[in-house]
Amino acid sequence: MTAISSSSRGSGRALWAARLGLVALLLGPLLSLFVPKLPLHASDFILYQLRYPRLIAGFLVGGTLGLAGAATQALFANPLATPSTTGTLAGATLGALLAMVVIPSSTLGGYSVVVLSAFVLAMVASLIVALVALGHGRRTSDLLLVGIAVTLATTALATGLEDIADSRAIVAVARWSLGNLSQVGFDKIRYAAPLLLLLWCGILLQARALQNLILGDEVAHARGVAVGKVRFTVLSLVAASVAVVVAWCGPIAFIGLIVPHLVRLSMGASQRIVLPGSLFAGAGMLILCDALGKIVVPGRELSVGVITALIGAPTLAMLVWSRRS
Amino acid sequence: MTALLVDAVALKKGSKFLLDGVSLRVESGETVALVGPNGSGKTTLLRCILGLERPCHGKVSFAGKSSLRLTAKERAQMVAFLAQHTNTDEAISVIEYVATARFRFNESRAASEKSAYQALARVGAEELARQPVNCLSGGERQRIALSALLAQDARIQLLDEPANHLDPARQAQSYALLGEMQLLQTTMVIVTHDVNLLGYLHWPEQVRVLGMSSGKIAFNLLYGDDALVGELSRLYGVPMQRVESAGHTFILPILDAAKGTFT
Repeated sequence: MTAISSSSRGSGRALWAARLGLVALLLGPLLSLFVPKLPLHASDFILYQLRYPRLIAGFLVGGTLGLAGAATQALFANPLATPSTTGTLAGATLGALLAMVVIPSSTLGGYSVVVLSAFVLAMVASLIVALVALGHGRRTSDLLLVGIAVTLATTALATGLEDIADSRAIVAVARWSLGNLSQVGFDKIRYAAPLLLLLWCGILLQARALQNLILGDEVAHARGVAVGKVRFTVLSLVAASVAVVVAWCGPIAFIGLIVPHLVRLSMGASQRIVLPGSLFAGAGMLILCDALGKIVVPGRELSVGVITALIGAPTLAMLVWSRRS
Repeated sequence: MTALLVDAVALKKGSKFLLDGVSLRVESGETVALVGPNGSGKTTLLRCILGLERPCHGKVSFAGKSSLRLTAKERAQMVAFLAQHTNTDEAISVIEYVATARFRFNESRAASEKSAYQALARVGAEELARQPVNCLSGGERQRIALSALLAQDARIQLLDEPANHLDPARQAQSYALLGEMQLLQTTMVIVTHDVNLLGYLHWPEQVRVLGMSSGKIAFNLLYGDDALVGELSRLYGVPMQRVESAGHTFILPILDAAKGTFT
């Protein structure tokens, strides 16, 4: 405490930013550009070891979820398709959980195994949904129903897994499973960031093919899109990026559903805009939700996954409702 | 030059032959119409030509190259497709909608949009370029779907019921537009229920009409051929008659007014 108060005289502006979580989250990095570098003290520690990693993680995670949501919608040509309705997120969660219960994930090597396991099950879950939903004339209800079935099955398996896991693993998993950004550090960012950026590029490169897919499989095929190959590629890229994010910060639902809709409403439906737009809007939204989680209950911090679900679930209901008219 | 060759193609679903030894040849610059009752195999044949279905026998080739040897983009260079149902409910601009059809080209967005503009101009729809697709009327949607077809710049145009879901005036206009494509030496294969719409083309008498029935080609005649009436009567199982009016020729079923049934 004395360290903080003494340094506050030295760097008033930086400490002010660090104390007000929300402001620091958004303006901290900007402010620090104008504050002369000082020897390491408490405010720097908070800024560099807690706030920055969290801000960067928010950007990476939110961006991934926004982009994955937009890509999934285009992939299924269905506005209600998103990693949380197509089983991708549920599969990744089960996969990550499986690895976390079996091996300790505190090390980076452990983290790789968690990512891999999350990716494999995300792929299995979304392939099941894709095969069923795309095989039958692409009705929205089919997609949602099979998505629900897969999600229920993976959730049951995950619960069963927690039943048989030892209590220490459960404690470690409990906080993770709510979806939050509070445990991130630069070590995992250094690992995840290049991977995610690569996966983002892979998805963004498919924008033209996805634009054609939205117009219909037959039309896309006739225009030279290798429909099956593009679907599988994008599905894999989405599953991989969701797996990286879920293994890192837990399942954060609904960003991928809301964000592409907001982008579409405000900037038009062109994939050239919706994909990158959802990336940045998703990043912004997650950072905001994370900040919201810090101020909703005074003195306590809500997991960002709780906030996104609280906003997302009614939004999904609203979208389903609006499709009826 | 032969643009498209379908050689003894057969396709089986279960124990039923959807296509049963279909052969046809389309020369470059020619317009061919596929007519026939529902379930006669028109759409299945179209899907085989597009590579959406794989025939169990026979082969499809474009300009002498077997369609199985073509990559997706190479096929898109050979044949473009106007589907009956295209999703035009997306809030994207017309110019982008048309430019999307340029997928097979490795070119910049600016180049795609330039070609899209030219394609729009060819159907007289360049004033629509900046409008959102989902706000267009049925006729306008048909126009821009056609310009997307042109933007793909393929050798053969396959059109599946190009006037479906349009009112009679728009149907005639659609075919008149296809007639303008005839003038540009476009190779077209048109699937239609309504042989009379062919009369609105620019050179209807040069259109080759292929009648399909139970997965086979029943006849192969020019639209101007007198034998067409008899063949169509047999194809649809009702007596038909050629009627001349206002410079157009129509072939219509004859209803016995007294009985209210076909004679």
